[in-house]
Amino acid sequence: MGNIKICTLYFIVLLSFLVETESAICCLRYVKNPRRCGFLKGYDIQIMTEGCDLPAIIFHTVTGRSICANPSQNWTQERVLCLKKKAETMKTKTMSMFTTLS
Amino acid sequence: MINDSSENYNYGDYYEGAVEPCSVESRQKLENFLRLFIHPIICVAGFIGNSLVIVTYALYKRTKSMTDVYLLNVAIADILFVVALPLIIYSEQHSWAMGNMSCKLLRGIYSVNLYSGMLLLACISGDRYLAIVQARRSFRLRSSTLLYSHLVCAAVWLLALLLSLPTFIFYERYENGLTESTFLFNNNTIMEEIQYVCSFKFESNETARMMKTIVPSSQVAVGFFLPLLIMGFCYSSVIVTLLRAKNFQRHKAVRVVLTVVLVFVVCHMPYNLVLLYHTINLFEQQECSHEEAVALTMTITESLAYLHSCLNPLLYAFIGVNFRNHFRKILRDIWCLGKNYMSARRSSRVTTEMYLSTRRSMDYSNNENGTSFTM
Repeated sequence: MGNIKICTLYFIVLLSFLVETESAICCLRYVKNPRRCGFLKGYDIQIMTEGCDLPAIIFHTVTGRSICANPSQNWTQERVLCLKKKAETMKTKTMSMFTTLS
Repeated sequence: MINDSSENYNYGDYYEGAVEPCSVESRQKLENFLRLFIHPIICVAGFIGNSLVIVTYALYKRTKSMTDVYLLNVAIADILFVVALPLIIYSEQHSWAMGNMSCKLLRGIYSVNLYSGMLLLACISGDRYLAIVQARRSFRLRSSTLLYSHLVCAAVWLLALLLSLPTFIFYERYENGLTESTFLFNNNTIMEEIQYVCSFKFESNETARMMKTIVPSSQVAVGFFLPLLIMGFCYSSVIVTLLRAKNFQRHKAVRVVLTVVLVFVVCHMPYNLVLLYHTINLFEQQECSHEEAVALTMTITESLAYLHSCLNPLLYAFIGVNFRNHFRKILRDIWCLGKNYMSARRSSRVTTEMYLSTRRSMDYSNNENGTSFTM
């Protein structure tokens, strides 16, 4: 009976350790073909100075997926600029909408 | 209403050749299993075994020979390791809530003990080489300069500390996840809880590239291959000398030496080979499935390497007759064992000590001067 209690306590203590472990979710390859800007809605920058070993631009698509792109390629930088323009356009429209209301 | 004709297209063909960040789910499941069931056993067994070694040396045996000094230091390194490991696991589960200093300290201690533990095992093989292969020549040196072993141990710990400096310097507690996120439609984004990790963090790509190569490379080179070379040379010479001896107990001694080397290789070679392979392929593009296989293998072989910490007391300390004698004194003092127990053990002791008996009569005046490597 004492052994069962000890084992139960041991198991309960160990269960408290069972949480997600830390691992970086990284791009390990780059996509070969460019994607249209209209297909994209945002991006992340993957840097080498932390857990990942490859620099990358991670585009997020309107359908909720992520695409790994090579930052040194021209089309990648063009898409980043395009997304920034989209953000700027959205900002302008939002401001004008509030101006109209007032 | 955005009337952009460029957005009217079929999504289907865009999933061909799509490259996404790699999932780590299967590795996480394995890691959880190991941390829940395997690592606790290793840590408890390692703590008990190495504690017994330290207590035996501290209370009864003292360090009478060079090998004893090395064995004590190995036990200290191993016990620090089995104490640091559960603290690291706990901290990882709780976002390193104890802060940046605990991150640097625990990872650094882990690294120091890895190096010192391996290098001290090499020192033990060197000492056995001197004792057996160069027996006559080294007797005066070994018995009169116990100081040398303390100096060697100090040098080993210092070297381990120097090699671990990158870990102390570059390991940081920082927020997990990608930086400089740019989302256009924020209302679709679900805000997730912030998670902290303890890992390498560099200031530039050049530093990152250099350190991510140097640190695992030095771990493989100095933490495994160097000790392996030293042990290989020393124990090979020991075996050759033993086989030449006319003592009928030599085969048992050879088996002990072979066991020590075999366990070392089995425990540490798989992990170091995988680490070497992973380091060679660093910074190269690769498939998710390939990276996943490498990560899984590294996780499994790393646990195998941990196992060596709780095997060391059995392989090195308790294998010596004198050490077992002193350990039995502890048991006798604690449990008040009578003389009958010692009498029952006397015959087996005589048998196991017949090896080196002729050598002992020449080199040692009494039994207490025998070292723990007497088998």
